[in-house]
Amino acid sequence: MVPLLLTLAACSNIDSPLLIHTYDFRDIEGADTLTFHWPRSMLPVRVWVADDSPLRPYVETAIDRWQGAFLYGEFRAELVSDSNHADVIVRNDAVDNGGIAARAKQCVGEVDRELDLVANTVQLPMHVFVYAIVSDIVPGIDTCYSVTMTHEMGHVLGIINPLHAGATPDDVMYADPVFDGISERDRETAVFVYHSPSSLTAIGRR
Amino acid sequence: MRSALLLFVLAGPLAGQTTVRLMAGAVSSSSLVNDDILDTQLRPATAPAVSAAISLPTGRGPWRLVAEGTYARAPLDVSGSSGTDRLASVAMITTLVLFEGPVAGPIRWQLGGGAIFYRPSQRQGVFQDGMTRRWMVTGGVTWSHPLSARMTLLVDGRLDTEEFSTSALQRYGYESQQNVRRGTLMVGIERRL
Repeated sequence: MVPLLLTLAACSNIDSPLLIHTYDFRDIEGADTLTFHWPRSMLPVRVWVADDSPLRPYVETAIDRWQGAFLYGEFRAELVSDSNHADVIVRNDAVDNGGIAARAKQCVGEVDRELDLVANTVQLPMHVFVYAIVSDIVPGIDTCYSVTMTHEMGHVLGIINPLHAGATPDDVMYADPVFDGISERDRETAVFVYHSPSSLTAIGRR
Repeated sequence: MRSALLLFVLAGPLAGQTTVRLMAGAVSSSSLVNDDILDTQLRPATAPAVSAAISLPTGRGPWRLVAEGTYARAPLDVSGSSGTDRLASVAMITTLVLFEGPVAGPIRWQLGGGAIFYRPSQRQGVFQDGMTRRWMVTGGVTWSHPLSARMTLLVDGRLDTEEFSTSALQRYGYESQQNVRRGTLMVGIERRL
């Protein structure tokens, strides 16, 4: 019993690593710095993409990748069948409005958000557009969709710097992304976002 | 002939005193992860638990050997800088070998060890790679009260400890382990075979 009691008394916490490999995730509007992450009360984020959309498998991959970046369920998302109940709507169409863009070799992605800079709110649903700029049967379009969808999902979860400042070609959040995955810098930045205050609040659709 | 006689002599008392135990109760755990940098605690909620065990005499003395399996299932509670939340549940399956001996009257001590298997219902967070196994040591006391010639009422109180980590934690740079302590209170029946 004595060894057990000694072990029980020697309770120690796990050594947590510092988040030192991050880049800028904030949006700058004039003199205002904007940050956003989904509150836990809104998880899982509801994402809609058409059943027959060529993007659907890449949306699932993007969700899996970003969820896997977190150890405590800070970001979780699920596909929903009804776009009227979605927080995020993904379309394989050209963008109908300006947004945060990513331009890979064969396809383009944009996230269109409606911000109210007075109320500091972002109106739901967010719209994500990913579309081919070449024929969608050319070799490499699958990889382009995969890279670009993961990039746009990074914006959706809260990496909202429109200039992609600090991201490098080794990161999926680079402006012209080529990395098909999530780098350690992407991961640490996303974790940092969710353990920092959010200045924007998501409204509507709930 | 000599071997058969020896087997009979050994088997007689074994068969007479071997018992099975079925118990139910609750288990409470400290945090699986207490993340000082992210100011986040991850802890299983207090969980109902059931256990089955077989208890064998070890010889002429009052000591017994107990092989026990316990099943508990609880959601994971998160609290800290990113808010509070309840994540998918995790099953905690323990397989233990315990030595048991007398303290006084109906009270006996227990000491042993084994493995705890964490089996998540979803691959999520620290359990995104699936099931993990940790070694544990445990100790406690058990109180018994005879109900009939073959049946005994048991109440077990147990404390155990383990060093927790997962492959996901290690991959993301959590190189040490979290000391986890659990307390279990069980009530059940022991029946002589």
